[in-house]
Amino acid sequence: MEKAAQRLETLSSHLVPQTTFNAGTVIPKSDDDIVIVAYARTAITKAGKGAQKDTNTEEMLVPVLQSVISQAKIDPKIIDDVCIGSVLQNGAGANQARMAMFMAGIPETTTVKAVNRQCSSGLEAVMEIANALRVKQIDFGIGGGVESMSQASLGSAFDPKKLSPKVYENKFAKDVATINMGITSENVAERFGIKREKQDQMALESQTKAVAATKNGLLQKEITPYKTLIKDKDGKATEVVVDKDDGVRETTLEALGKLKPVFKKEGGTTTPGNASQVSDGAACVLLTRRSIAKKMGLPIHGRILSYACAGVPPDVMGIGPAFAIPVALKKAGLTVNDIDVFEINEAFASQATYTIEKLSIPREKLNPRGGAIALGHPVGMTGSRMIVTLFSELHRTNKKYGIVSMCMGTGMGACGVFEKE
Amino acid sequence: MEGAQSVQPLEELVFEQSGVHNLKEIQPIFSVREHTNSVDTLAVNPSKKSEFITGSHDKTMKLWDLNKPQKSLLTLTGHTQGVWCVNYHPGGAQVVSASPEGVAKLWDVKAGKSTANLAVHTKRVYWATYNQAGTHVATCGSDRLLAYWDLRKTTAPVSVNNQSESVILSCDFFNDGQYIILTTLEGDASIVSLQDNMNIIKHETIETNQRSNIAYCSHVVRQEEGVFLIGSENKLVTKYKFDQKDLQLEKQGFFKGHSNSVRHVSVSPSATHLLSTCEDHSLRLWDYHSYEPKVIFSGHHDNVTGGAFVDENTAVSCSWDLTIKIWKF
Repeated sequence: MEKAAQRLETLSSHLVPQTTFNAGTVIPKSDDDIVIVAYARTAITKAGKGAQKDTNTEEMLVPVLQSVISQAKIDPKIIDDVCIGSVLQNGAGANQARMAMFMAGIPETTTVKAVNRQCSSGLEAVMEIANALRVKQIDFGIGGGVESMSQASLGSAFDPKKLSPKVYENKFAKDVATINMGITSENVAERFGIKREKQDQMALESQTKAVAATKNGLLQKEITPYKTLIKDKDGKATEVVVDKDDGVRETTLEALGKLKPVFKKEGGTTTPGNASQVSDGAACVLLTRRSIAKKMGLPIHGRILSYACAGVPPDVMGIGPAFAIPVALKKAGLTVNDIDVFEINEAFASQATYTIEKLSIPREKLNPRGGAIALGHPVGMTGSRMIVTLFSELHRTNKKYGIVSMCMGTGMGACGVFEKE
Repeated sequence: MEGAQSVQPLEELVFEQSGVHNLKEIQPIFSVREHTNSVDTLAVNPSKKSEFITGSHDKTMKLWDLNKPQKSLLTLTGHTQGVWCVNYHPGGAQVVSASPEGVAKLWDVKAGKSTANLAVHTKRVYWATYNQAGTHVATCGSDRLLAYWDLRKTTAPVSVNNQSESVILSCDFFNDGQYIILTTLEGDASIVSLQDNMNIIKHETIETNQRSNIAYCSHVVRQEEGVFLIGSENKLVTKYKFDQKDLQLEKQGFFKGHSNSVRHVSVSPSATHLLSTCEDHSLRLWDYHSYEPKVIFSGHHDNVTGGAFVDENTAVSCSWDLTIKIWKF
């Protein structure tokens, strides 16, 4: 009799839906977890045209740094280190980050560093702080990212004419020097058969989701508004409030289909409509260890489960996430099926489509509030911005697991896995 | 000087690298920031070169002494909108200012007060300037009108030309005061004849291979009969000669090198050099006769809207970066 009851219990447990499908396990919660206690972002505005077009990066960082401090209600002097990711500024903007820190009211006793891992910089910065927290090098840190593409263009990173001639003798090095991001998108589209129609479809979905998220006020709630000066075409500077993601607009497949490819005139598929917008913005995240958050009674939004970067050939850099995501998931003890929200940067619809197809990521879980095609991709900001969007959406839907992932120029992919509490 | 430089078709215009190694780059010797919004215009007192005036989007003009540039001598208030253009009367005691407010004003510089309103325009006034004799003023603006004023009676203009089909951005008198050059938003350069009932008697569209070619500024060269310069969106300063006898207009050549719209142009006292100011954040000094670029003035970090020679080796500039800079070369 007992044996039968036992068998019944065993059998019925197979019928209960499991919270994770894989054999690996998510490590149990512990006081050593790296937790997110606050996050903030500015609006994402169009480079050269939007509200932040005349705003320097050191200014853009101030409202978000102030916001995370006031959200957690901490004395800024307990912050040990700040790490800001930025791609296009000299020295990754280390000086600007320090200035911003001071202007935000963080004392000189707090240290700062800048990091550049191309388009993952905003995420990398958060992970740098997480790693320092993990080994107890620090107890409190802010990781974030900023970019003004109004003030510095993608082409300003280096001057190809000044490179060593030996660069051109090595295939991959030469690719880094000579192939621009748009051509890598065309390479991915061609090599992996991502047709124009599929790319436009992703672009349409991105905009549609973003339009809906705007109508529902969801994007608005993510934004920390602030005032800045903007010069009109006559040169007059007036104060404006930066509080809206201005890249979002209604579109149709027809309208997208009319756009001409910009990087490869003949037979190209990447257009301004199915590529990320060039934009400005800043975002940051306040992190600590669970033990400290508990002791101080700080709100815990969630924890970082894992982070991984993967290297890929520079000429198809867009495939990076397809390699980074599985590694990060495995380290987190999760599979694609376990993830509720996938924030995958839409640098180009070509590579984002490749990624979700290769990993069988369900479309309805991808960028539920729209992605970089609709919102914009201020390169240094994006990684930390997606954490803000991810957690906002996980909170709203009361879901649990999410990833933030992107491809990076020069041939990489990155992925961070998060768990909301 | 040799005959007119042969004019290249614009399709062949390429940013020239030759001569670039001879190009010097200089920094300002002094910089001051006092205006609270973009500075749009600057003029040096022709009778007292150490004095200059600036006009700004902050609605004021400021009087400066080059020998004590740390702080302005005087702030002139009165305009209800920005000051977009200021020019000195040849005598140096009076200036005329133009504003998007819709009026031009005459000012007693020493007293720091406005003495008259030149009100006829119905929209933004972009430019106001005196004739060489200092007896008359020309104003122009968004309403496409060019107005000609007698300083003895400022209640109404002597005459108005309404033939321009486009917004007039600048105007200047030819030396004898009988003709006025005007430039427009659409890239036209037109010559109005005072003797001919204020009619446009000559018109030229400034060449470009782009859709838009705003002709921002014009400057009649005092030292060379009939010659005038135009700075425009095509990144060039173009030199023209207007022959009053046979009413011929001839393009003589162009100054090529800037990487954005040219906003202001002037010539040094001895006509050796030309100074251009540009949206590319720089000023350039050129050999006026050979068209050769000589010096790049780097330091501003926004559109340089005004620049003027103090003497053959000194210049002063103003910019949307709110600063005024002094240069020695």
